[in-house]
Amino acid sequence: MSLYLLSPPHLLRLLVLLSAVLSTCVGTVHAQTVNATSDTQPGIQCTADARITEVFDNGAVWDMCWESRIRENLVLSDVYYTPPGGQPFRVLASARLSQLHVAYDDSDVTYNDVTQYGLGGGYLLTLANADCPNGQLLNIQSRPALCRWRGTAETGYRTASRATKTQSLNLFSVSQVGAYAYIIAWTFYADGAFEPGVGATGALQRSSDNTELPFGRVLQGDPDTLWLSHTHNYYWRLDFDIGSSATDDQFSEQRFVLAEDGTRQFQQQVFTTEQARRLDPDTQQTWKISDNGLPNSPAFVIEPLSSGHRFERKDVEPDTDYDFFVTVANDCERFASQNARFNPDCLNHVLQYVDNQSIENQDLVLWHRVSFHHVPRNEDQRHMHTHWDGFVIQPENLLSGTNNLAGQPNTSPVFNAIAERRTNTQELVHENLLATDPDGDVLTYLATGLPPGIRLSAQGHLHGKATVAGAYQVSVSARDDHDETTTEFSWVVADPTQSSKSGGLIHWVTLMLLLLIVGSRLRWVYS
Amino acid sequence: MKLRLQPLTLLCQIVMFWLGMHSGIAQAMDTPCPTQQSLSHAFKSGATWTLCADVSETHGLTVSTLRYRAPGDFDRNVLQRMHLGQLLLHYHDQRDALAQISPLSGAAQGISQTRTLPMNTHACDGDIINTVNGGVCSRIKNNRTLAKYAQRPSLHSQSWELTSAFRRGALTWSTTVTLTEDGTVRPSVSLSGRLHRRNDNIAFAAPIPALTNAQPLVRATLLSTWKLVFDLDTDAPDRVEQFDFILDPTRNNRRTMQVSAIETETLKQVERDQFRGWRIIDASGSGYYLDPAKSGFSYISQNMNWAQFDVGFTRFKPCEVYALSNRLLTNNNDCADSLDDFVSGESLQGAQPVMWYNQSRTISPSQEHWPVIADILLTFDLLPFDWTGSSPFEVIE
Repeated sequence: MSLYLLSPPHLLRLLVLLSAVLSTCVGTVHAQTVNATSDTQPGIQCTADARITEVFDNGAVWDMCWESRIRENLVLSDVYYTPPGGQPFRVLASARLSQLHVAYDDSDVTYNDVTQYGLGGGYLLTLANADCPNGQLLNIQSRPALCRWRGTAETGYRTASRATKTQSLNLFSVSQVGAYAYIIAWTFYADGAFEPGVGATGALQRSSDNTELPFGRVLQGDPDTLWLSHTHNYYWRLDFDIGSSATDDQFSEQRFVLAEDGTRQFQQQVFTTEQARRLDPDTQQTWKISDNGLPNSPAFVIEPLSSGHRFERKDVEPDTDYDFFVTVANDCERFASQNARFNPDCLNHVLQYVDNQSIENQDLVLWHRVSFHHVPRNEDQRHMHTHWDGFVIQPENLLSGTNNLAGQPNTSPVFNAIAERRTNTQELVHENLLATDPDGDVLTYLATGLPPGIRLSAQGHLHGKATVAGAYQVSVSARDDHDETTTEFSWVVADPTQSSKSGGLIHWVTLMLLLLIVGSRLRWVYS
Repeated sequence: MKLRLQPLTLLCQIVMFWLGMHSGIAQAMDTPCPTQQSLSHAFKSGATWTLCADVSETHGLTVSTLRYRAPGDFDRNVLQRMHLGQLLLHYHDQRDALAQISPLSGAAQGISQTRTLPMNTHACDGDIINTVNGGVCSRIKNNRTLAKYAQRPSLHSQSWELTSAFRRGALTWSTTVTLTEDGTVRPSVSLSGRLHRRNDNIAFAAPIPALTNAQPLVRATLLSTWKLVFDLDTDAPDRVEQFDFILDPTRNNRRTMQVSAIETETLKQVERDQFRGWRIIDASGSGYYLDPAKSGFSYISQNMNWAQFDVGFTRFKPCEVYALSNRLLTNNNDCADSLDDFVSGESLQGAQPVMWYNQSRTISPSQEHWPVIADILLTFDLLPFDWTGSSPFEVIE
């Protein structure tokens, strides 16, 4: 009744408020998570049902919008990560699978599933609770098709007395394209890492009745069919907007090169133009996108760890000569291949997008390809066990320290009493500085102010011969897994050779004085 | 932990046992498994793993007499023994890598002789199996979707993880063997603990921004080597095959599958462009496939030839245990000292094959690794390959 008293703007506000309250309640019930950040967080522009906010036990938050598109299926946008105890940090403007290229070994057929068929729309499978046993189903349009579940990573940390694993938010939907079912997955870890992935399952697609061909295998129980080997090439498009500005990100490549003297030297190449890059396993090459050009600014790093397979057919598909691309963001550049199929005014594949354009002060997009070659085995029939492919993007200098370590109970190390030290130059020092740790943590030691020539090993072993006499104030710290204790002591280094010289002078002066005294007395006696 | 015995399975096992007793093939013989180390896990599907787990003071977790039973199948041998064969850690400012599996330098340098780390409720969120040397952490983990087809309900599976850990100075190393419900064997090793080596030269070291006045921490490259002694299925000797898929640009870019037998001891490299992989196959046709899809990096070394290869195959010899410093570690001067020496051109025919698999990765310190290193994980999969005639999970539905 009172609604009649409200003006249209007030009514609209009330409806928005009611909608927000309802969506919050629904989110709480279904997602079993808490919205830690305000809906008014800058940069996140989507309705409540298109938003995913996951708060982890360590206090970290992943916050993003999602949608399912006809071609790419899952597209994530406005992706923010809040480190434990930190502020929301913008990571991505958008992220998606941008092509699913399948090439058969007989080379008769090549599919570009995203652009030829699409992973969304009618290709998207409706999921039942049995498909998402440990999570919650979300609707795509009017049917459940996205599974959201909380998992645990394979990694965390381990100290001498404690180990933890990192929590994860997992999202997936399933697209049935031909006989294949592709599980389009995204995993976001509580430590700030994230991982695009695809699981390929379903059934084998292509076969030949010529079992003599060297392009596949005959499987048990079906001697008249040759199932063809093939490669899945997954291309992801990641539009990074790290930090507060979308146009100050910096892209670089790191290598660790073995030098002639046996050391491994760090080399970094910062790029100023668009790039297409190949894997270089021998130099342990990684790629990094940094918040800005300042040294040690927060960044995300891609280690191509899943690169044991590499597809190449460069005479007909020149983009397959490369594994990684960086381009300036352009809405026209949507798919890694067959891009012009939907927009003839746009370029056709990702290698064409790399046209020497400057990437300085631009919004950057990274494209990464991961290949998997599938050799049929008996176990693939009738339905294949999922083979998973993807890659992890790790944060660098975004967290303030090791994830999950803060807040763990700890007692700091305690030093045994260290007395003032007096030694001579060139005297061999060979002893331990010891501290104890009530938690049983392994201790490492570090010292400053030591006399030149003396070193303290990380294990607390003092070793060497002081080379310069003097008085030194030494600071030594013992670190356990959480904290460090520092103590100081003085160390006087004497030079015995200087002592003997000065002692001789004193003796000589004393002797001279004595002689003078004796001489003067003799004169007195004789006078 | 359940072990179901069905009449057919029991009969098969009796036959297999009889065959084993009457076979003339020499096998690697392990000492009997003490009761507390004899483990098994049966999943709901009926898939079952049985094994013997031990923790060595030298190299951590050892899994031996590993057997897998697929749903509806019977227990069959997979591996006679698996454990870390070496770990190298190369600090970038040093000339040489440090072998992490090597005798300790002793208490004189402040390092405790205790190497294995005890599994307790702070270090293990699963069951603690009290073997000697710290024990083993046993966890059951839900896997991602095992299989899905159209609107048929997804199949789901679990994994059984066994982990032990040891430390070397302030570094900790976790070794895990994950056994999945569908027969995959996934060995892994991860580095954590604390980095402490420092150097002002940023060619070798990375500063930690939060530590404003501290010296940069030195980067390091790891190499993990797993030793896998196969004993597939029947007692007949296993064979080793290499799969390559050769691109022929002159024939419309077709890729021809080439399967070649590896008949003598050898070291091999991943060939990414050829999708190279290796299969160990029993006379029965059952096999396991090492697909190096997760092989990201190569390890380059100036003084260790073997470390530059990704995989090695040798004939089983009881005293060839570690890829480096083998004589010292086994206290046996009559044995060869490194994998380079093990690979001596001997025939693999009629022998029990041993696979040595290398993986490498570099740690570049950042705030995420301070004060404790976020796990640096190296892992790979051994896939059952024609182990069963079809997916054993079809029968679940």
